Amino acid sequence: MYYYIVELSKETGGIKFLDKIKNSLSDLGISGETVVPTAARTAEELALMGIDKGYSTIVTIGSGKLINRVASILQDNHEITMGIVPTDSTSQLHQMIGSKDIDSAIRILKSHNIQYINLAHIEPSRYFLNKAYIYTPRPININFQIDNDYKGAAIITELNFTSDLKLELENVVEHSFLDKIKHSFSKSSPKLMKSTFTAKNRVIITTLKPLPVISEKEIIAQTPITLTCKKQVLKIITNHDTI
Amino acid sequence: MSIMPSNQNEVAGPGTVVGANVKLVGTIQDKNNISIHGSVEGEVNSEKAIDIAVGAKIKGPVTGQIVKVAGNIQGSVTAKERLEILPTGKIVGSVSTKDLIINSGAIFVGKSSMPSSGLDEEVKSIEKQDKEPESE
Repeated sequence: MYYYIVELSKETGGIKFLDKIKNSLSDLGISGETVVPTAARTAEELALMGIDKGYSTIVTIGSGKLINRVASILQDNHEITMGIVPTDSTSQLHQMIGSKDIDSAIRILKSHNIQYINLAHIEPSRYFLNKAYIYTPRPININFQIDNDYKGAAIITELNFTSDLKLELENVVEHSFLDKIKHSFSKSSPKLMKSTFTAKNRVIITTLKPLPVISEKEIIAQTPITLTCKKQVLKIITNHDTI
Repeated sequence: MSIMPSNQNEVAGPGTVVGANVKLVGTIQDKNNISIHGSVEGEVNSEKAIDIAVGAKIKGPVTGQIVKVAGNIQGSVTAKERLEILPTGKIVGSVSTKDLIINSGAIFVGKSSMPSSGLDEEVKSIEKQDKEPESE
């Protein structure tokens, strides 16, 4: 049986949105209990209630922020399958489950192909499903450690990392138009300012000043951070062709 | 319902890339290719190819299948298949490979050996003969 946690917001709309969702679910024959998080009852609490009630499929319909929070509750519980319907069309979670928009994400719930996926953990208690990043408009120095293998220092403007501990560091300022002209005159090829590393277990990132770590438009932590990967801890419904 | 194995953990793409804006200390190990444009103090090990770009600096041993050097290495280089030192490349240290290519302009200071060719023993015996005083 399905248990739906539906977020109502300014972006999605209120009761009309909820009715539309209920109609779509009913049309597909996958309707179930629908609950809405409030200040008094958070999404995490609602997810725990869904588990207590014995639902086998808990679906989160809302922002990536809400989905990450529910995922943190459902991790390691292999008796429960998580459904994901990102309401933000720009969410990277669409790419993860193989949907384009809300309607296609809802249709995927019906197909019910299941995959075990990783969840990234930022100590002490924040989680994200897919990707997170650090961005600064001006280049800054960062230090990082990949497992116990090596330590590094870099000047960057962007740092992207995935839940399977793949890091991409980039200094986009060096790719500026002036630099390109400079290199074309000196006939030298521009220096590669992008780095890629993959950790097995742990990544530590430190900066001189605290910098926000953002996932799904939410600040989930501030540097320094210790990032680990919880492997295959979530059972999610997805379009199996895509992950 | 079908349960699919997730391929989230599969390592795709070029493997490890160290940009020009990065300095590393420690051991880099990757099953895939490693490309270095910055600076590394420590070991660099790949089961595939290693590319040391122009301007890159490495202090430490480098081991890979195919190693291409356009930057600077201070340390031994073991290339199981082929080692190529490009015109801008510099190696100070011993090298070991089946196939060694040194382009014009490249700098190589050190000993070279070809492990699987059986020539090593031949070289050693010649060196031994050279050292031994001639007996009448």
